[in-house]
Amino acid sequence: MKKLFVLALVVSIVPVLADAQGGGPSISTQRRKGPPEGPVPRLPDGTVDLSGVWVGGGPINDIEREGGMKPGTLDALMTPKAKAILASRDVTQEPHNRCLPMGVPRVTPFPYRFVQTPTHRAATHLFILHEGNIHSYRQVFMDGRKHPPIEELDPTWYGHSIGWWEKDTLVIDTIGFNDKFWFDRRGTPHSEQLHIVERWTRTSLGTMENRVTMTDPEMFTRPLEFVFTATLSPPGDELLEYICQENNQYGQQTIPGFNPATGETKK
Amino acid sequence: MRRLSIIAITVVGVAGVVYAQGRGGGNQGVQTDGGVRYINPGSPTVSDAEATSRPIPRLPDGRVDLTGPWIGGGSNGDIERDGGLKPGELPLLPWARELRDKRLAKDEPYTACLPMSVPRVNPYPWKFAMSYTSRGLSHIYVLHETGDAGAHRVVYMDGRKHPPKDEWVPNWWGHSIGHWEGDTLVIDTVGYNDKFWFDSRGTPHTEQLHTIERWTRISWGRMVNEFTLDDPGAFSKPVTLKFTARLLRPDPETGIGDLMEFICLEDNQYGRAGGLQGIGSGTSNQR
Repeated sequence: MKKLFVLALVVSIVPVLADAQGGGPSISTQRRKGPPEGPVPRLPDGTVDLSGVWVGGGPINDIEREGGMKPGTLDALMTPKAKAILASRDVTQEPHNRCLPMGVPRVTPFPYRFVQTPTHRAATHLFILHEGNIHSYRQVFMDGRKHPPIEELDPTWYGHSIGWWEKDTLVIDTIGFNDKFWFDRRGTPHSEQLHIVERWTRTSLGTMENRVTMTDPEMFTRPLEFVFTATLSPPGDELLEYICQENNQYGQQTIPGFNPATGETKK
Repeated sequence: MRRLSIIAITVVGVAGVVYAQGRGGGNQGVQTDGGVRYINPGSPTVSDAEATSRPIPRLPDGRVDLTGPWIGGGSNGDIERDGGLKPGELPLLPWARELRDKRLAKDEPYTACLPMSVPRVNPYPWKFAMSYTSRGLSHIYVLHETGDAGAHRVVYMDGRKHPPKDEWVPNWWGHSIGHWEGDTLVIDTVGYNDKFWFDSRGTPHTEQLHTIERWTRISWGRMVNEFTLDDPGAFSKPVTLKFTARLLRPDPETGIGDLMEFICLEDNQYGRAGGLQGIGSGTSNQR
């Protein structure tokens, strides 16, 4: 179950011990065979079990392409302000490469988990834990509260998220984002007016659909809809310990044209 | 409901989204840290009288609900004092004692946004996130409000064992397996790296560190961590310490107590702007 080479691009990985055990095909070999098949698992109270170890389900490089839009569609919907911001960005400036949070709905090449936590009452919170790039977590309030008025929210990387179930679909509604994270490595921008609704549906044991609706009148001339699909990692996979800030060479190593031997970047 | 602005002075304080709860724990009032004056409002926790005023909550499967959020329950300034020992009682080997006394607070990895590890806490709240799945309680995650520096710690609750020693890859949180002994959650951890400090005093350890935590919610408002520390590399014998966590007091208006978003890396000025001395000179320390 050596998993190291999956992460070879990134220097700062420290693998969790459990995954360093020998024997059996590697996680990445198993992943190539496609997601496991079977019925959708459920909790004792009938709620769909989303815990998994998931890969994908959001944009990484290009939200337009990965979210199922035809090429050029997104650019055509950008306001002049959004176009100007996008034109000013290049990959070397990406906050995520400096170990800052990736925001929503972005994912990384690394896996993540949903944590469903019943307390002595019904589940009041749901957490989303990512292996990378920053070892933080996203918090979703499941206790029926509303968003506070927007003027009372301090803009944050993950915003203020409230969630509920519509039949077997987990709906997460988020406002209160800061404007710092990028939707993708391309630099697709947003403003603090961003409002995102995610609809997560586990369609089988091995796949989960994330249907994302977002509005941001400052950056896009109409609401946008994207569809992403997450796949379940093989049984036995776990999130590794990944401390981005420990030895962060991620940003530099991933700049196109960077030569690790010379330390120079060819323009 | 604006977050208190003083927090921006005391720490890195990225503004969270919720509820103006004074956060800061420990000593309250106006303090001076290395010449920088700041106000520490203290964390709102339930009082001793309130702590026993309600029954200990349980989950649908009968387990004690350890969720929290909690304040404390570990070491912060000085593991010896925080863990209930008298000065000098911690059985450190001579080299380890020497190293501790040589270390400067400014060099602490935690103030550079690296994980605090075990049994460290800080003045901010944390939670046991008990992850229920179709196969029952599979993992417990420890989530600290200091999101990136606190990271998320994983405790395997599925009955697995530690991997053999030759397969350990030393890391910040080690390999943690948990089980229940009655109503006590027992967490056994090996495979730590030697990089984190137990406290801001600089108490060290080695990769031989083995910890056993026994978490017992003794009342609605208190949870005890009976902590066994065994590290033959840095200690002459195993030592057992006792810490008590206090339940965060919910916001009086909303009844809600939540972790805020805290991105240490975003604007880390803790070490220097927080007034830690000895920077550059290596000659002074605020201890």
